[in-house]
Amino acid sequence: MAKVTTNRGKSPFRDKVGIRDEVVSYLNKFRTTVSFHGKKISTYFEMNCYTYIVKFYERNGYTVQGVNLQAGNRFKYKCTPAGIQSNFSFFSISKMDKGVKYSFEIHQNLGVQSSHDKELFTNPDIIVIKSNTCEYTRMYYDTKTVFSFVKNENLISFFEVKNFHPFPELLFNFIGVLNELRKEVMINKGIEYLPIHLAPSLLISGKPNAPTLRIKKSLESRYCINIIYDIFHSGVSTFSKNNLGKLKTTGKI
Amino acid sequence: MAKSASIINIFTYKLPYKISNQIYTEYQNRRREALFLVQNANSFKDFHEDLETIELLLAMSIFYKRVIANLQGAVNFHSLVNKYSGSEVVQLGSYRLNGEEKNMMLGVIMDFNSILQDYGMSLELANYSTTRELLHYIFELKTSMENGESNNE
Repeated sequence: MAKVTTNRGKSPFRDKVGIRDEVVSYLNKFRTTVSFHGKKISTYFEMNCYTYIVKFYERNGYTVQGVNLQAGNRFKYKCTPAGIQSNFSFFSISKMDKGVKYSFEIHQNLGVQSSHDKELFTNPDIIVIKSNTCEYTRMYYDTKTVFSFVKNENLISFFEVKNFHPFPELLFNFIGVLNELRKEVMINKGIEYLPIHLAPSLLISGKPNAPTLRIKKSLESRYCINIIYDIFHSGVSTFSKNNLGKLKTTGKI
Repeated sequence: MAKSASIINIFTYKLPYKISNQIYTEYQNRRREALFLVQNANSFKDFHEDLETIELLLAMSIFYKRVIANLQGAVNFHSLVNKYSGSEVVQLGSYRLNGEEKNMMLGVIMDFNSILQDYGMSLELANYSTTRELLHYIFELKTSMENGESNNE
């Protein structure tokens, strides 16, 4: 259970009016700022998860670089599946392993071809792909709008992020996406991509309860995936250097 | 916003509907549960006089989880981009998160943390799954503060 920090004099129980007044002053002071950013909360959560994914690779010895900056040295973040991928920035990662240089890219909201049917695509929140494998077509939409995608063979791993409290349907929906994009993982024949890659993962902001902990345990024992709860409180430790080894990497269980 | 209004209305005042509704709904559900526990669970029977404080701390914890923690995520990402590309600007649609904007977010985060610290609390306040766990944290906080006061007498 939570630990109590050292009391520095004031008490929320004794100074009820005092703490309320301070909170109200605080809220009034930042009302406009918080209100403005309130519309972007889900994107900020996704950005937080993106940070953890990049840090996973950095802490595993990859060289990281933010690339495809736009005019004015802007890192243009892709907030939705809409838009042409080449107009957005992303992180490029590379690592030397046994004399071979491996290079990959970490993108957001890029279409990925199904592993069952070449005509089907879905957009995971964050994906790792082989370098320079993003493609474009005008044949996907009726409107002939440009569609950015990556072929399934060029997908390395993918990550779904959910700013919710975990609940069973949310977890099982992830298995549906896993089945569509990585059918081999469903029968424990996942490919181990070199040098090292984080296995497909579901990152959730909320803390689990007993049923959702049971589901996580069961799903992680069946499939080579990570289900990571409570990103705000456990994210730092989950992706810390000491705990990286506890995360599943691509391949078989 | 009037200081006499319900605390959750003060927290959600002028917030966009989606986030405001999430905060309000979670607060009302947990508040109902907390009241039930205080009225019926032996371990929380000493809380009868602290309902107002419980409501405030509950609202603060939800506000942290749903707003502050996400602002921290944006700040972290800005730092990541700056470290690995040298860029000072993250563009999200038409909005540009630059150094100045990042500092404004940091102000929101730091002032919130400062209130917690001034009243002997930490971000552990928001580290709970069930409402019962939150009440246990508040109970420990109260016990620790009362013990500290009696030791100083």
